[in-house]
Amino acid sequence: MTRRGPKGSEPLLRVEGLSKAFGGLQAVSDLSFHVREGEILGLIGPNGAGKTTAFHLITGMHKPDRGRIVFRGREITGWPPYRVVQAGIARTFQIPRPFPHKTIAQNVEIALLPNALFTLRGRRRDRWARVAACCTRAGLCQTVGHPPAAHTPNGRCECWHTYPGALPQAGLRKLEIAKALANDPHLLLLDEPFAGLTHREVEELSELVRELRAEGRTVVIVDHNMRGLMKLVERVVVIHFGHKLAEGTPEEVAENPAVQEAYLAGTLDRSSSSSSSSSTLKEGPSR
Amino acid sequence: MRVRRLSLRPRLGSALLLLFFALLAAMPYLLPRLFPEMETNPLLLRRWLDILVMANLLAVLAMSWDLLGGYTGQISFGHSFFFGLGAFTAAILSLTVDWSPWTVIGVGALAAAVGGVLIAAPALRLHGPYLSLMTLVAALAFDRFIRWLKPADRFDLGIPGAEGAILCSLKCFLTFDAVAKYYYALALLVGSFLVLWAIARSRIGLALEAIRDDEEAAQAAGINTAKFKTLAFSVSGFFAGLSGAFYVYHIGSASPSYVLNLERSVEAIATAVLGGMGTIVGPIFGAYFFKLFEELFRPLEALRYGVLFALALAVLLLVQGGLLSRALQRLRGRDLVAVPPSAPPPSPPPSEGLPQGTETQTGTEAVRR
Amino acid sequence: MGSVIEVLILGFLISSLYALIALGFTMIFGVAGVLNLAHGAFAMVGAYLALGALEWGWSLPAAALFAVVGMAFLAPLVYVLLIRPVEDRPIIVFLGTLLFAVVLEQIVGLFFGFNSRIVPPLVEGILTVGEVRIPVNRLAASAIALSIIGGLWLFVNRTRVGKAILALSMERRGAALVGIPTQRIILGVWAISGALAAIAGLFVGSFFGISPLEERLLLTIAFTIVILGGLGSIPGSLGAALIIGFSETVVQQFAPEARGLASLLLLMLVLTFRPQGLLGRAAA
Repeated sequence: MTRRGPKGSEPLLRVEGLSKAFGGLQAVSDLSFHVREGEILGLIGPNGAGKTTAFHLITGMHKPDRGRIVFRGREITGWPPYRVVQAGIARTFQIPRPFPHKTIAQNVEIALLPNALFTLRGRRRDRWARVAACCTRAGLCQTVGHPPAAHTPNGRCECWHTYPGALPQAGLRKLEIAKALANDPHLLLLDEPFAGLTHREVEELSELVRELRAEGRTVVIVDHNMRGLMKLVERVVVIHFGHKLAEGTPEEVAENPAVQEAYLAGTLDRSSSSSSSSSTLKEGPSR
Repeated sequence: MRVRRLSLRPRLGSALLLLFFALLAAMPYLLPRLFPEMETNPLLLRRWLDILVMANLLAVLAMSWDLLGGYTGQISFGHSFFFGLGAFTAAILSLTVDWSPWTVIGVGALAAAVGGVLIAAPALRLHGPYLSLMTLVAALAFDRFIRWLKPADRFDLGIPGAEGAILCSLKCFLTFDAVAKYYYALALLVGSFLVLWAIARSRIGLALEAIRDDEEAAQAAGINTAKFKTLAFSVSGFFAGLSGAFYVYHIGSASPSYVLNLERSVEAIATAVLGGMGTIVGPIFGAYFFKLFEELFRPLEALRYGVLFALALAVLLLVQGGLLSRALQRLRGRDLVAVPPSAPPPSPPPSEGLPQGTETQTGTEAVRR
Repeated sequence: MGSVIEVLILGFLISSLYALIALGFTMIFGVAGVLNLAHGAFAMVGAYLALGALEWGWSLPAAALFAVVGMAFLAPLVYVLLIRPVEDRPIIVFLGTLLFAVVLEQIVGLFFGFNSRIVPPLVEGILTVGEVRIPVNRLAASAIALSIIGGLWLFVNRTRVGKAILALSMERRGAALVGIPTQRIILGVWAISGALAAIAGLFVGSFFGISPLEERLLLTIAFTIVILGGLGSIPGSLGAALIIGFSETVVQQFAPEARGLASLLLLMLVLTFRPQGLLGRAAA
């Protein structure tokens, strides 16, 4: 198996021989990869390659047919989602899924709710302080047009009065990240965070991801093209038809013939990484 | 569990609700003043107080449905199951053990809460229509079971009634004093409302709403959805059972053709929808509207229910369905954060022309078989 | 021995009728994504349309035709007026169709009363085979039900429109992209579903009699069959119709006091251990 881990040290997350079929469709088959502590890993592949399914399997939303998932030395295969979250893995959704009838602050608060029915922890006041911190951290307070919560007297910003419906696409992505941050994850799984964003928004979000990594969080980013990821990620795992196709630095992977084949020649070409000559092809519809 | 300054906040809604409860508390004194015929005819007063008792019981049932359906998004078609479970437990206990009425009613409610957990166990794996069918099937199966078991005949309990009914009127009564009974029922309403409202407004309610809006996203946010759904089922079952157990002590019998009738479930849904789903407080107004409409338009016979259900349908589509609320929200701006878009319909005060008739429902009967 | 043969025959006849009820219900879910809880009410209204026409002095075939055409017209109307505006809110659709069904009960009850009525049998007479006596009407009804189911199968699988319906049931947006007139087809499916419901209602009315509140029983049967067979799966529904039809007949024959209870318990077990139904795909 692929145990080319960093000098024998146990990786943060290890996925071994993961398989999942839906009816006759083999979405993920014998997928193995690992995530090192403190890195930003790109998980890429064409649409339908099984990236999102891999996320669903890791976070416990689907049960794998076969395979093991080991996180920080503990096997978490088949755990219910809330336990995976408690163990320190949080995710965002490809299509942002806010709770539309709740304010932005409440959306984040939901991620902070303790599961115990009776507890002294998780008083509302403490929760709100955390909500304010997460909203500020993810840049939501700026997005809704007010100074960061830290500067307002009661530590709250417009997030307390604004509903997700008022947010632009980039704001919804930030909300997804704020919700994930509320669970204080070791490992953050971002599902296509850049899809449909403008170049400037991609830059802004990339900066946020770097900051989160600097805080000591490990980040896995799924995307179907490498364009936005080239400058951000240190390592790339390419998935194709549910298999791992290639692995390595962005440069290595982009030059890999098998990868180029899979992407119908040149889509991954890093020489045009920051230009936008053919970006319309890769940046899918905003939904 | 911390609740934000329960109903003490000087908000218009809370003030109106307090006023409404105060009005209800004054009813036994107000009614004879407003309608002099009641002063001369105590039976008439008694009849109207009984109607209000029934409105309170319907309100508790509908609120319990609302916690599960409106708040958690688990649409139950079988609340008659919980209502009936509470009712039959209370009826049987009242005949077999020598406990105080309140203990028996409480145990009846607890039995329904256990029933809620039992339903929740398979329901956790079920979603949407599957879940609704499960609740419906539980209610139908319990109905068939009681009709087949005929507990009164088989275990020599009280006076056997038709179709497995248990008549326990000698053992299961609270008081002969109609006014006292009215206040008991009012206390039941206010108490149930406070508990359900506190749950709904607490962090638990927020988790329930998250489950309703997007169960997967709630899981991704770290919420133990199975646990909170089970909680919602058992709390909802408890209050539905409480309503059913109190009903037995109000009427003096438990009959499958009333307490296990699907009509109870449909009424609970229509009431919750009329008053506003997902508000807890709405069903109270919905219940008073329902019962008073039913009583005041008695000459219309079955047509009343047609009108009531049609009204509920209109409220559902226009208000809950968002056709109206979208427009209203645009008008109001984004301010009223916690106030749901549905305003409870005004409950018409009892007015002149009090028709006479029996207190129980006559409109519709059990589904055949 | 005679009773076994009788059970087999009656079970089959009832099953074909149940299949007819469930078919329209599952079609609407498969194609339009709507779980129409007013389906039982549609069947009931269909039967009462025929009863009404008979009261005006129409002949039985004309009344039956009126009922079928009437429901084929009313069902899409209900969809357009009530369901389409809230189509994206499943809970609202769910409760809305339920409330609409009870409103229909009351409306019909207003005109016809709440007592059970019997639709006259299409064909008179009793067929005697050995010691088994079977009303010819039931045979005719079963034959009609089966030929409708067969015809529908051919229509869906062999015609262009049918294939468009299939495509729509798989992927609505995709179907719209390749130029299938989505809305028109959905309206058509509602019309077919309404017509099927009316036919089923006519037969139920002539077998057992029908009352406005009876629709809940029909709905429960359709719901049960469709869930048992797997939502949206037509072959699953046919199989489940056989299971329910036979189990009810068997219980009716040998343990009448447990009638209804048995199939309900069976359904609870299936829901608990195989919630996607016997042949179903996962719920949407």
